[in-house]
Amino acid sequence: MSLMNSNGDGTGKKLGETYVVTSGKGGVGKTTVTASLGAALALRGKRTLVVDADIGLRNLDVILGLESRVVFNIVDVAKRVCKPSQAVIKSKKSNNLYLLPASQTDEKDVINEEEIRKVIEQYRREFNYILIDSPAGIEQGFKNACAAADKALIVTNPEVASIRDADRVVGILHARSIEPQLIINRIDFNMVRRGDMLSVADVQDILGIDLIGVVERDEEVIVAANTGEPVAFNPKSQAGQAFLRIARRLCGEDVPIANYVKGVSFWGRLGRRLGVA
Amino acid sequence: MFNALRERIFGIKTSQSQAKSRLHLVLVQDRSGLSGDEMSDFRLDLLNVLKKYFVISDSGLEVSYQRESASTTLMINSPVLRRKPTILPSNKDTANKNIPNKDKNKVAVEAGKDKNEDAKKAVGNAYVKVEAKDADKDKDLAKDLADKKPGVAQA
Repeated sequence: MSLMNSNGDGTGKKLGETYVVTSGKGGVGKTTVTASLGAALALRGKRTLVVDADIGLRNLDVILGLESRVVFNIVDVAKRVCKPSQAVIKSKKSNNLYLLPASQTDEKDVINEEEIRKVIEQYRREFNYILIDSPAGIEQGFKNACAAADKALIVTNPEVASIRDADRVVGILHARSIEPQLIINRIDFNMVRRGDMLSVADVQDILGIDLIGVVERDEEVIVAANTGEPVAFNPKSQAGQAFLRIARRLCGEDVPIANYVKGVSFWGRLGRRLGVA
Repeated sequence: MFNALRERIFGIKTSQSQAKSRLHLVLVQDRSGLSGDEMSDFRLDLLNVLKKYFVISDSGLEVSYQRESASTTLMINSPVLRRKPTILPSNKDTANKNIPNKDKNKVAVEAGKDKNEDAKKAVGNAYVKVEAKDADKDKDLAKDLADKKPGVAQA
């Protein structure tokens, strides 16, 4: 690692950027986004830690195919049962991708915000990126997941309930001075064309926050979950490519979000010119 | 484009545009913290105030609550049919009768920060913009949530 002594602590290492991946509503794809984006960042050579903060409902381990290797978990690190290095598990597919699993047996409030902040702090020097998978809802589990994060990625589907909940979360994050960026997940451009799904522009317009990526609905995501290999490792899948693009944007590359133009047909473009669409 | 045309000509709304308008409504309520009844009272009061100064149609009033980074902006958008003429008490009745309905006078009234895109929208509309920093409210809410013990919320 290059000597970037920006944090002024004398160690010469830049602290990892910490993101919480959250949504308000459950089932919109937070865990898939966390796993795939983590994989995509790892593929770009960034040392990445994905953290499962959904205590009691651990899932990130199975999505990453690491369920059989879990020994210690985030609660063990917080309660000093083990060393931070003992709890993380290296991905089978990449040397840059690590998982800090959640505890499956504890209650959600077994750790507090201060404890989780301290846990994450211990990993910040070792990793370029830390992605924290938040539980659904806006209760203690969500607040814990946010406590250690500098930034937030909000995952939403282009549908009413998901956007409403996302909006609620945006309000709470703003109050905590965390600037969120938006990932629109599971969009179906054919449905958008038919007028049966909100478009990227609609969602952006309604939520009014920065868009960092659009992920198409893709059967490969289910296949990837079945096999335990994050979809970003599959270069043929649309969703996988979308996550690679988001990873590049997170790294500061200027990758235009152009793929949603696919949602606009020839007639749509013509209509827009004529001012009717 | 066909959907947009269909909507204009036949008035058939796509499920997409229904979703959009329903979301706009529900988010105004969520963001403002006003109940449905309070919101309709608010609209009624607004209409009465606006009618004092402009000739507007009751159905054209749009109230939205837009987020810009940490602040939330209350947007009140209403087409102005005609600027209200200065009415002398003696000819008040006749003045009101002479107002042609379709004559959309281009009046733009804006209070608050100016933005290019907002200015564009304002053409043909009386455009009243009230900026209300709402971050404090959310902070209170975040604190409320923080203070709440688990279980209390369900009660």
